[in-house]
Amino acid sequence: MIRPLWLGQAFAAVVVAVALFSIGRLIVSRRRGRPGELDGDGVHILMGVAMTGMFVPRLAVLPIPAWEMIFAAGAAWFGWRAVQVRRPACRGTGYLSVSGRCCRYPLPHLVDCAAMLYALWAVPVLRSEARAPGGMSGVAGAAGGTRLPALGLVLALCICGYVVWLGDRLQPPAPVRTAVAARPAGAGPAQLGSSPGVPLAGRQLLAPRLAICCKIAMGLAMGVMLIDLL
Amino acid sequence: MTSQAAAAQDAAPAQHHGDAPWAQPGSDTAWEAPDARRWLQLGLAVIWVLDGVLQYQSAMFTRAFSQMLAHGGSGNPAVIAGPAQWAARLIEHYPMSTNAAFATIQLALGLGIAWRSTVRIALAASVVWSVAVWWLGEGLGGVLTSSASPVTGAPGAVILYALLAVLLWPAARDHPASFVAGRPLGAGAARGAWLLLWGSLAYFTVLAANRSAQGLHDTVAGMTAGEPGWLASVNRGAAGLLAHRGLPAAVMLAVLLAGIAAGIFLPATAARVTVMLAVAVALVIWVVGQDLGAILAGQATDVNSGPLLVLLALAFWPLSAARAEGVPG
Repeated sequence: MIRPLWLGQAFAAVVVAVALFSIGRLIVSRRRGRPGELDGDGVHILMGVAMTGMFVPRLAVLPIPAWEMIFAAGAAWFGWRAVQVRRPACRGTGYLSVSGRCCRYPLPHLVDCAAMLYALWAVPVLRSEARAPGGMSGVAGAAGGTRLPALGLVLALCICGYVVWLGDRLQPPAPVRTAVAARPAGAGPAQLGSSPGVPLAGRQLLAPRLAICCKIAMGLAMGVMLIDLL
Repeated sequence: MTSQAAAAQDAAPAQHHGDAPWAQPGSDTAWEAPDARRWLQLGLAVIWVLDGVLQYQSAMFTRAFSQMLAHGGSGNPAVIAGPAQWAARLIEHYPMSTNAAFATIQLALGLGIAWRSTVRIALAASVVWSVAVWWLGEGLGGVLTSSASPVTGAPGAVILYALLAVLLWPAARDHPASFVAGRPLGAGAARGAWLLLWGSLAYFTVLAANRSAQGLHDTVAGMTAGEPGWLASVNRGAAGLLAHRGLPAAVMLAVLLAGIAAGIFLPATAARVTVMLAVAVALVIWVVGQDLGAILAGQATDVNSGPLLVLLALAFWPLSAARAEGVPG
């Protein structure tokens, strides 16, 4: 079964847009001396390029084994970061603690890398075609030949959960005083993003809300790709 | 600024710097941790997003989808089947655009519920969408036919989305209730909805088609096509247990479902046991009778009723007095 061409192109356009945004964000934040998410944006760039080739095969730029090595390295990096941010010494200092250029939430990126590895590994037809020059074929049409489909479903569920988790935290900017005053009497204390008087360990991330929207878009594209593999 | 607000602001430095992905030193935003109702809303949002993703599967852009819908209307009275057939024909003529629209709408509903600013409008829209799909797409879940079975998803998974949206509605003024589902409409109305739902499941279980000697066996055995080996094995094992035991199995299941329907009216401890039983039954039905919504077979448009029944049951979990007071969700 073949996915409509325009649909693959549409999802490819989405992931390319996210990759371009991530490139721009890295460049601009570096020029302006703003803290960034080098690893988070970096993996989005790689995912954007790889997924473009999966949605539109003629746009594939690397063979599957190369992508597998890249995302295995990415998974190792974010796995290490996930262990690191749980250490007491790193808590309370946020993602600025290590180098000032690492994302605070490595676990979702670890899942992203695992999902990419799964997508590259799960479908035998992809691997057989990868031996030929030119890279990957479209992922749609894999029904019946997918390895460990339950794992793909679990990964897709995790990614859908992450998308919703991001959506829950995506809110319009509001001054702290307004946000606190608007809370109903008797409600528990809010978890504040900051408060006046707290020494700033750094400046704000560049375009944080747009970055979240890009993560949501990338997650949805990844979810569609995984489910279509089943 | 109120004294509570000032206290909250004073307390802020003692807390970690926000769980919002952008929250960091220098950010001027506040984020309130979800309460029980909000968690359930987020669970509903995840299912909507997954439904949208499922609708984007390649198979849904073919005529197979419209044929699936046409089949859903069969056996219904003309007033139900006619519009369902019309919708199926429309989708058959425009499979690409209609399916893309359906998928996008479901994604939008999920994201709308997830985003706090749009939760009300998304929940309201989900009720409208669910009722429309229940009628035009599922033929009212087959409840007016003689083939409805809770094992296969009656009264229709999609109507459960609407029920959940109503029961999880973030009302401006909540009714006092010891469980989340009782807050928007009151505990009595919510328990009435529970009784109607689980009572109807018990009724469907003992319909003639389901209580025949091979009724449940055939239903479960018929699910194996396209499923992975381990899930097909579960089907075959369950079908073997049910072979020629349709009547006693249907009666036992109906008694269990009727007990769940009535158990929500018991005191808190017994109600908790009822909710746990409901969750267990829903999960067993989802795995054995619905094969995880047939998602792994690559033909599912939704997750079927199992996860929605679980979510619904959790909304009736009796909370402690302090949590029942709750923070607005």
